[in-house]
Amino acid sequence: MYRRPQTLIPLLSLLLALIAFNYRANAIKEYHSIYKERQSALAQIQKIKEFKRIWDSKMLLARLNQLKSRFSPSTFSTFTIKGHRAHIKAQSLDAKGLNRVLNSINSLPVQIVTLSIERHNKLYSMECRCRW
Amino acid sequence: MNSRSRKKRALFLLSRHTKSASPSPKSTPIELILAPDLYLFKSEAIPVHSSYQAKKIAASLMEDLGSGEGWVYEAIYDSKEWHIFAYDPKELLESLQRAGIKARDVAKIYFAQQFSDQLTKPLLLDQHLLVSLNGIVTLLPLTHKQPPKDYLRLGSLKPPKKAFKLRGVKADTLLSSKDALLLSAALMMLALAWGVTGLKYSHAAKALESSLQEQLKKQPTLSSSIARKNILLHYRQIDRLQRQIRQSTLNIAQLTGKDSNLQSLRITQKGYEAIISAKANRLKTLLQLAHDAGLSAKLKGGRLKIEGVWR
Repeated sequence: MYRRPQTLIPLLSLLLALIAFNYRANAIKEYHSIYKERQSALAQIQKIKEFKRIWDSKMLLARLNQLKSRFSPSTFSTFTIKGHRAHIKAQSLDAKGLNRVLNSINSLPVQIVTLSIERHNKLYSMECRCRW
Repeated sequence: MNSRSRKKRALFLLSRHTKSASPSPKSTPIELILAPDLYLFKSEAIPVHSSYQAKKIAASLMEDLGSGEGWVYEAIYDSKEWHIFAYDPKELLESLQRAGIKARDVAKIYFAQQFSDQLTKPLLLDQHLLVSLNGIVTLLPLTHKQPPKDYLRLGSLKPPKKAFKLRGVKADTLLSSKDALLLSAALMMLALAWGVTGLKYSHAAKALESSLQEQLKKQPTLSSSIARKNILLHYRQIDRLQRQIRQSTLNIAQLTGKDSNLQSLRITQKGYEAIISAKANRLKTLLQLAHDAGLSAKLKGGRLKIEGVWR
């Protein structure tokens, strides 16, 4: 049946408006999705940078040597560094000395793999294996 | 009523005497030719320059011919004279209803006068004849009910260039033309606004995407989200464990002092174990302090044993 334009034109306009609304809704959804993805990616990158700064310190070798030099040569019976691993052994330490050595190791960004401390006759012996 | 189809349009000749029309195919618009008994006609030289101006004064010109309130006026300029037409929409609607035609199906209307040049012979219309007398198209009754030997058929008529819209008759629709146009304009404005907003968001999304890609280009090893997640997981595990080791060492160290001594401490990747010796009266206090620090401690053989696993 033939319809006059006053029926057809509003219907076409409505269809166009619906298409435009749908397009806008999809564009907003896409924008928010990309925005969220971007924020998440940037936050991850930032966090990785922070972790790397803490745990992948390139100055670590120098800081370990610095630690060794701060104590008398007799303090450490073993102080070896191989690649990214270190083996530190100290004997006949009094409580104060043990505290100093432990605090120094704890302040370094190394991963402590094992740490053992034993007390014999009021003196301590300690062994620490760490990596980075 | 006579009718013929032309380019998917049905042409009908409508007069007061039309009783029923043969149904037109669905979705075929109807073009109506109004017989002279449905309109008034006057040809006059009026000093106006547009049909709009001619229509404005048409009411006063046609008043003496019998037009009245609510009538519709149309004007065409032809050979130095204005042809003014007037019709009563109510009467036209009645005729349409009698003919079984819906007003909304009428696409165009013509006045029979517009065909005066083509009516070289009479045109048969049921019991009437449409003839042109001295250039004026008139409807004459058929005498003796015998059609003339030589007459024109509706199919031989060519519609003139100028056609009119059916005005003054409600087209049996929810919206009038004006309302429909207003509604359409409003909807189009909305569509435009939504389209522009959508386009802006789309551009902004593309800009964000390209900015992210640029950032990731600077860190090619972190361009994949899976790689980033795995690296983060690796570092988080290290960070959590090492912080726990350092915190536990500190907590255990705080339990030692003048009256209490650390006998042994063993830390591995799985957990820790420490033994603290102290005077008997001090042990319970140390136990309480260890619990307060969140350490799992117990008294064993006159010593405080602390042990736990990394979470």
